Amino acid sequence: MTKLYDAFSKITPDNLDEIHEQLQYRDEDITVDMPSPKRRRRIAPMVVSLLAVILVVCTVTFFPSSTSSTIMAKVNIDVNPSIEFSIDENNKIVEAVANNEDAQNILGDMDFTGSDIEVGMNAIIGSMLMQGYIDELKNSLLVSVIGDDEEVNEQLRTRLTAMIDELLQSSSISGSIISLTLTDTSSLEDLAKQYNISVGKAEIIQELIEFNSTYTFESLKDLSIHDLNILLENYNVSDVTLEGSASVSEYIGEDKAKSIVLEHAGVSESSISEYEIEMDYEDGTMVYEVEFKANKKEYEYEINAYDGTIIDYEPKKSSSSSSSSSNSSSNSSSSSSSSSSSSSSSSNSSSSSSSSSSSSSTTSSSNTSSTKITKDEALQKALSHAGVSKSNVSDIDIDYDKDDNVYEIEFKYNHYEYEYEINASTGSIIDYEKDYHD
Amino acid sequence: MHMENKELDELILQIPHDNSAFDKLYEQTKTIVFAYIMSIVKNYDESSDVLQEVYIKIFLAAKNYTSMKKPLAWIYTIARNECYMHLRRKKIDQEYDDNYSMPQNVDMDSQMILQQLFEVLTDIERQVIIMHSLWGFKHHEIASYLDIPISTSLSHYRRGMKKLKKAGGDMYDKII
Repeated sequence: MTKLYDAFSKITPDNLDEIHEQLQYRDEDITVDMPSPKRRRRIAPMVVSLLAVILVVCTVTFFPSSTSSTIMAKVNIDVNPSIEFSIDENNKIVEAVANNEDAQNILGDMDFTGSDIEVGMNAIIGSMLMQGYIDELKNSLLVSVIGDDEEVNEQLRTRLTAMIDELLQSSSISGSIISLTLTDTSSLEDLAKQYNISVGKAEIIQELIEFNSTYTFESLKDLSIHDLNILLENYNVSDVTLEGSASVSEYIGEDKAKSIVLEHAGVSESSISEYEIEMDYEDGTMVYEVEFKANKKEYEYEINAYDGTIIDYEPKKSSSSSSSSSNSSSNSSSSSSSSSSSSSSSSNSSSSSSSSSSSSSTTSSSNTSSTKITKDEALQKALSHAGVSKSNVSDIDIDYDKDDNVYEIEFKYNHYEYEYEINASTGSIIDYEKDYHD
Repeated sequence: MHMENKELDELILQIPHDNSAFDKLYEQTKTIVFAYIMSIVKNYDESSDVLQEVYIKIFLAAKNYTSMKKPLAWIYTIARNECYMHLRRKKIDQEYDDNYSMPQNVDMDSQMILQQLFEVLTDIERQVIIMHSLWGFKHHEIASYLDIPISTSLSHYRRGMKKLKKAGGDMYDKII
């Protein structure tokens, strides 16, 4: 953040002399009272209501007129199939390109040259409806308009959106549409090419990554527009207009998620407060993240959105309540190991938690503070969470912080700088960050 | 940009014995301390006063300082206490004030960054960004100092950065 530092350094007063002056008259005996660290342990919550939205991304970029054709703008449409139309100043299609295999199926043998963009759009949507790429369950569409005249793009965007909406309605499908305008897609184009996705989709993914640094292009690029929709919904991205709502029928639903969670926790609906639920994309699947308070405790759950399997939860049941404790290596910071030392704990967490965590290493063995994972183990945890292998990263830095009993790990991979904090006793991830670094 | 903790630790330990140590500490840390104070007090003149008081206290407290891994946290504690004592005395909500003694010949870029920092961000976003980016505190540390969940610290940071990027355009592309 050197720019920020520089800005402040320019205005920071230099009052060393006054300080020395004052010190002549001051002689208090001062001891600084350092607050003891109060660590709150929470899995990242982000409260968002579940509305699905379709993305219509209108990206506006200047189209170089060096090409001999009179291409004035491009219109992309993504559902999963990704198609790009290039149009001239009369909105007539000059070229239609399929960006992926599914798109090829859609385009088929159709020749759009010379047709109006609306006609082409119509045909494509029709084809997708017919081939089942769009239906009641997958009703999300991403439309991007790229050109250099903001106003013209805006008009086109509005028109196309309305048209698509009507088309879907006539097939009894309520579509969900998001629109977004950009002016510079040069950086996006590289990303789009690298990951073999459309510029619009790249933009959406980038927006999501900005809100949640655990997301990566690698993990999100294969998500359907539908799933990306749901995530975008979560983060209330302000330059995005939402129309309609995405279908959530392939997921178990919030109510079911709630009942699974409450049952596992052994609490009744009436005893909970501050209940929050949202969908997110974690560890390769759409999940529900649920939080609530009950019995003076804070509960957090992560469950698979498709089948309700509990992936992770907090607080882990202690042996005092005669259930077992197990450690999870996912990103939750667990309480210090000494508190869960129990004589009766064993790995028979065969109770309702069908936790898929790999390590059910119990803490029944003597877990004094001398039990600690090694630096290398901590590094491995970080690397696997980040989804990278040791041989591919550089600038690895590992520090052990004795006061907090954490490993602080840093490494670089592919233009990104990763930072991890790992609980040295349990190996769970307390904190992580991923920043773009040139 | 910020000194290594080890260096800082040694410097502070030296203060009671070596005058130049205090001066050096001042030079090395005043910018981030001032940034933090501004983020809370917001008024330039008052921040300047608080800055002075903070370093006076640092000097006086150095006698009782014992070596620690995170001397920045020690400095932070002093700065924070001073800020809140100051605010309690004043009792009114502060507004960002760049009219009075703020140096006038500051370049446009810097002016804009500061303006955006104060006008576009919420108090907590600004604090978290300063604590993370300038002071180098990790989010779990920020979380414990501010008594908020780690994830909240993360969110404030991300949202703040996003707002800054949006307000600043290309200026923030290569931020770190």
